[in-house]
Amino acid sequence: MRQQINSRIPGHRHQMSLVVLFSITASALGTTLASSAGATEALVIDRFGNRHDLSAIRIKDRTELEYYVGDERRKASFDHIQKFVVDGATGDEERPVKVHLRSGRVDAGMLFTGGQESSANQGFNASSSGGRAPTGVSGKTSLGPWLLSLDDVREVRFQHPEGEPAPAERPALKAAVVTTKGALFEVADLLLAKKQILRYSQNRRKMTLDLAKIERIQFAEYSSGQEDRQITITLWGGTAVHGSVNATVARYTGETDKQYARRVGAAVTGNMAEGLFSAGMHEIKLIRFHPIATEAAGATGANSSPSPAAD
Amino acid sequence: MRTIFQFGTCCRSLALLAVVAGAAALALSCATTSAYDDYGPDPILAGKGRLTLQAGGIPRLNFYVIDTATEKEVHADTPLQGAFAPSAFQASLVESNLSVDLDPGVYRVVVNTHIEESVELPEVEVRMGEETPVMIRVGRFQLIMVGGATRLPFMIMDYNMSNVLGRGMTTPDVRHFIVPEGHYKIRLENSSNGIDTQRPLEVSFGRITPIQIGTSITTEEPDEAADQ
Repeated sequence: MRQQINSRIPGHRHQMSLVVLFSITASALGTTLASSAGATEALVIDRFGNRHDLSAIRIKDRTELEYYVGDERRKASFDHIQKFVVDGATGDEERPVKVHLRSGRVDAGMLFTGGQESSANQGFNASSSGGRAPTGVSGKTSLGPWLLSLDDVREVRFQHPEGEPAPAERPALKAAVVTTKGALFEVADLLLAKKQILRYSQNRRKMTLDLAKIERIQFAEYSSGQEDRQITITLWGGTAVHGSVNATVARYTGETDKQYARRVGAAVTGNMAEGLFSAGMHEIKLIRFHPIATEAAGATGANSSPSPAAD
Repeated sequence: MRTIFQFGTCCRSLALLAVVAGAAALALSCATTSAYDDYGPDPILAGKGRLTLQAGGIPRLNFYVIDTATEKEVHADTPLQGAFAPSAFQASLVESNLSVDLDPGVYRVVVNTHIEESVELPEVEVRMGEETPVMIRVGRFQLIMVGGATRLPFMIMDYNMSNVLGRGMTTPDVRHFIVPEGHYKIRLENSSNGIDTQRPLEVSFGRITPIQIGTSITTEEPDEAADQ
């Protein structure tokens, strides 16, 4: 009997060890798959010319790059970036950057690196404004975790999976814009607050909608001093969505002339044959987008008289 | 010898029986005390999965959930007041609204903040009977007014002060403003209190960034000329 038990135990132990081994392997594999999902590999060159191969790269603890092109703040996901090169003098808080997107576009702008104050060990600093946001580039190398101040980074080349199609640029949208005074403008590359996104509110919720999905936006009558304007959005599928957009012309305390002009007077922008188009939300009655496929044919009959608000 | 061996086997069996009985009693006692009455989260509803937002210690958020298959909103909750509301304050004890039970599927989660930018997760898969935690990259900041000034409007701007991202109102009570993680500038100008300042603001996940503003502070750097 004891021999039988003894003879069973090694087999049982063997099975148990196999189960444990399998479960550990499975969990490790699962963890690896989970962690590798969405993790981007990149090659980082620091200002001394050293090369670092990283996996799971993060910049400022995020998987997107935030930079400024002129007055516009842009965010590009790592999936959309081929590489970016940081120029300028080390130690400057604001450094010129060239962002090469996978679509072929190159954005030349400014990158806030944090300057020399940024370090790998930023913590709570009571003398300053408080908790510091992470400003470095982090990731993993074959030797372990890796961290470098963004101020010391010269170039980052992202490595995307082979065969993965590059994200395409959004096509420029053309639209007919009718103002509250009845003027009609044919506008190309129409943007709302410098983006192809409509921000509106609906029952205390802030909603966003891609302009490419919209056929037209109808604005309700505007009265002086009105802060929000009711809008009716008609999608290309025929669905109607109701909401409101901020159309205040009141000036905020502390707002400069340029900031006010940008917020109020340049809420709707685009290009016309005569020059730039610029208008405020309080000046618009209707925006009717042209279909992207037939935009070339639709743009021929443009009735574009000069805009009083055009720059 | 055989008697001793039988006695040992008997004792071993009794000990094993006692352990099994003890474990059974423990399990029964746990089951009868209804573990979900006072402690821990409620059980996931039958046939549903649980979506849990992890916001670094923030108990409540304004968010809504859209089913990507139908593009219809399946859940929405907006308990937080706007940043410009003068009566809002931070309560010390609040019930979290960051968990919601949903049918299995793929959802788009949009979290509204106190500025016009929202944090959006385009595809979150919820599986039946499982809890799906998702991290929301938002942080908090708090304006501390020194010198008696209480309710003052201020602006939240991007870091190069080109665009106004939102407005807020200071309150005498403790109040946390929720914004996406990143770098911002705070602009506060009030002639009657003699305050005219702009401050860099770094908001990070899981922290509350304090900004101290007041007339008693004399170590401020002179404001740089804005792009008037």
